[in-house]
Amino acid sequence: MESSTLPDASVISATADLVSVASHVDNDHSSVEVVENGVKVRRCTIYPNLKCEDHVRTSEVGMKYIKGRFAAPVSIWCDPLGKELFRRSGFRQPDVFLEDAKSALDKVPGKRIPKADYDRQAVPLEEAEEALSAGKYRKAIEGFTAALKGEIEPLRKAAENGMTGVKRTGEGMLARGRTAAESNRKDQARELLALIATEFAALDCGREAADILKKLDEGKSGK
Amino acid sequence: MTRSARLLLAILGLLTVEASARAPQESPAASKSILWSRTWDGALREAKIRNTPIYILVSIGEG
Repeated sequence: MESSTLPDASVISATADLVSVASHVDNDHSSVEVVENGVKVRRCTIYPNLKCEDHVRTSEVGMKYIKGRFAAPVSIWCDPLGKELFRRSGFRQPDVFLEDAKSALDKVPGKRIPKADYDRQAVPLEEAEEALSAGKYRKAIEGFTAALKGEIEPLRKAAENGMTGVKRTGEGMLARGRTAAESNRKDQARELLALIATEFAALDCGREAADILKKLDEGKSGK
Repeated sequence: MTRSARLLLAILGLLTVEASARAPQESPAASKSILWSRTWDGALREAKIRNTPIYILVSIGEG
């Protein structure tokens, strides 16, 4: 795609009906600090909604479709399952890109879900999945809870699965905390139960951890 | 307005301009950029659910 094509308003508007992936092979450009929702974040200068780590993560996607030497840039158009529909080599001016997009859209008939509707449920789900993998359970629970309220069934199902995983983790930690409390390893129990009570506050295991912690503290003050 | 008050206002004005020049800019991502997927798995999930084509731009360097 021509560098002037990326910021073109008609192109940006047309890509709302697509899912776009940047398979950027190297990383010799700069990033910039910007403010999003009042928070300072670093963003790539070529792909302004991404951190450079994001497009480094997707850099190998193009190699699933291209073998051997190739002349960059290449535009690969796929169906919703990732099967290649067609590809175009070289830079694409906005009007040519819009024709490519129309050809791809014509090959994928049927009802579409608008991006805004999808993002309303998918963004909290993705944030929850990321938080879960980083061990940030409280944030994960918030995200899964928000995604569970949406109407898109596959996303709701993914949120349900995620929440089930979080609950299982919390219950496992609670069992260890309870065992520690019963085996007179009070300090270890307190540390673990305090963590569960904070991180899993919205779940039964979090509330139960808070109760056990309270009883431990009452026992301590009663001595 | 006295001369010293005018001078003080001018200095404050300059400080404000300098501070805003150094402040990070508001991200254009929301409205002025293509929204690129952060992961391939996320792209596949989104395309399947939304029933949309996937556009993959394979590029190198600044191009």
